[in-house]
Amino acid sequence: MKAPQLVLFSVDDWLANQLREVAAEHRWLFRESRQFGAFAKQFEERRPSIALVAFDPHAVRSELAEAIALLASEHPEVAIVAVSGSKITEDHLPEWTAALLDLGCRWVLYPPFARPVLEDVLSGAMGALTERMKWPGAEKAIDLASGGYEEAP
Amino acid sequence: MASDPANAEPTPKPREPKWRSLFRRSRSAVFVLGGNRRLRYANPAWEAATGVSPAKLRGTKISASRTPASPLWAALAPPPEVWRGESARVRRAPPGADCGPPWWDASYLPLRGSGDKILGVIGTLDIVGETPPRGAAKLPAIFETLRRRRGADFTFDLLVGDSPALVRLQSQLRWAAEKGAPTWIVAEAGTGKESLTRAAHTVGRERERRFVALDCRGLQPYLLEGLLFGKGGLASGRAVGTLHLKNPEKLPRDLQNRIAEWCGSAGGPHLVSASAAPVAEQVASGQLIPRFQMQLAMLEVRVPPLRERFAELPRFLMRIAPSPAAPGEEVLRILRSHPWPGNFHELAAAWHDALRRGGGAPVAPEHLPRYVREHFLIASSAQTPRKLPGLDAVLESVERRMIARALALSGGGQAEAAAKLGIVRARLARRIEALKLARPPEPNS
Repeated sequence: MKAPQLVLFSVDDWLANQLREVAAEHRWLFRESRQFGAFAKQFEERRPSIALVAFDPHAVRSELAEAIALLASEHPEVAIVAVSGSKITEDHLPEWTAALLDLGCRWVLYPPFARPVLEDVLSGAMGALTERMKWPGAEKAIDLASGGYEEAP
Repeated sequence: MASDPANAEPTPKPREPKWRSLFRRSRSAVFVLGGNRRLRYANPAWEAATGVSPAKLRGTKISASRTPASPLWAALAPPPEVWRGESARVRRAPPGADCGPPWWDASYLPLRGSGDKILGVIGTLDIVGETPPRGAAKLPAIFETLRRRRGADFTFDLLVGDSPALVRLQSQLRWAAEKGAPTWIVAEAGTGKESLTRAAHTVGRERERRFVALDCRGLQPYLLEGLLFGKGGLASGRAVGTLHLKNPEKLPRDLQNRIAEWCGSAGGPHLVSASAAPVAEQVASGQLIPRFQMQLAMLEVRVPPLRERFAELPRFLMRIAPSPAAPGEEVLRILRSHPWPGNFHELAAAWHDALRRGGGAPVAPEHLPRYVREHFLIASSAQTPRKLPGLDAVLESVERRMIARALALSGGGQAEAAAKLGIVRARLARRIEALKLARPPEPNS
């Protein structure tokens, strides 16, 4: 199996800095993208992948919502985690969370969240993905032609 | 002589200093600290921003290390370099909040006296990224459009087939969604449980509310508890129409109880649980609370694994990713020889891989993953062990050949052949008779 990867779609660096450390600790590949097209391309190669999408609930771009829906339908094996950049009032939270999960996200995070929470969400999701992609037959055969296991850089 | 207070001239109101008047009319929040770090002045804009009356705080020491600690002091206190004579600008969360927006951007200008003594500090406060009015956090309309579009992608075509079991399964899921009957799905991983539940949701009575799927495996229970029952958790609203809970037996029992209560309450979601084992087994093993079996598994259905549905393999492959041509018989034979423990997930991975290797050409056997081809080779080359012939047959065959040889060597003479075989002539004659050997002519006759 190829090395798991974290792919971040974000327009700023506040989340990337935290994720870089988490990915390095778990030996996951970390990639970031600021354009939807490049972001979606990262999932063409099949490997356990988590897509983190940073969004601002006060200014959600329709392209972002469409990108989440498209990714969920074209790559159902990818776990999408939506990370809000700002707080939402308590009475709007259930509606937002349910809408994002319905759109295809596996998890939604709102500030304030501590790094251990982010780490628990990501490692839990990655563990489930790795388990799902581990088939008894595929594990036994090391197929050099198809790339085999790839070490994280 | 005492003056008559009634006739006394009214004392003129002391004139406000000009700087104070400027600050009072300013829309920027301004405050002044003395050299002893106590609040000397704050303008009405500051009062509006902080929500605290300056009159109450005048003379109070504004310091982050003040005891008892106050979030307001922590938000307003100048950083140490200001007391060393440097101006500074800091961004802080408002009192009582862990982060913004809105943020408090405070600027500090130290007022130096003789000998670099700090006489005081003028501070200004800007509130940036203000929390928009509540309406602005409402869901954009695009979410509703996308929800409908996504719902249309999920149909029961995974269950299309001639088998009566599949027809029954489809109608059971439809019925459960229409009636809101809690359902327990027994299926292996990768059989398409979530897709089927979602398809049922789109035709069910809860279709106008949201579909939420949660996998309890691997996630820390506190995360799920927070998502469902925390502040602003899903259980506090009525947004969720169908809750698809995978492997609920992995949850702690108290959380299982809370979920059971929520799903059993009026306005709670339609619960569709899924696991690899029947609900009765999970309850008997102590992993699941009995309430799940009694109330939350009104219907138990089994989704067959892929290896039991090989007849529909070509259709599944074309649905996963259409290939330039229909898969050939040889490719299908190899695919059918594999047990597919990962079911549709594994098949999808293998098929995508094969298409990629084919590079646009129709998928050939060599494009399939090596472990699948190897499994096929092992399965097809396995020799069934030959049945051992019976001992009597072997002995008879040996006897027949030895007698024929002895007769040939003795030119058909039975006496000589019997001597060569070490038996009496009468016995040889009986054996020739029993084995129906052609009686050779006697040499003398």
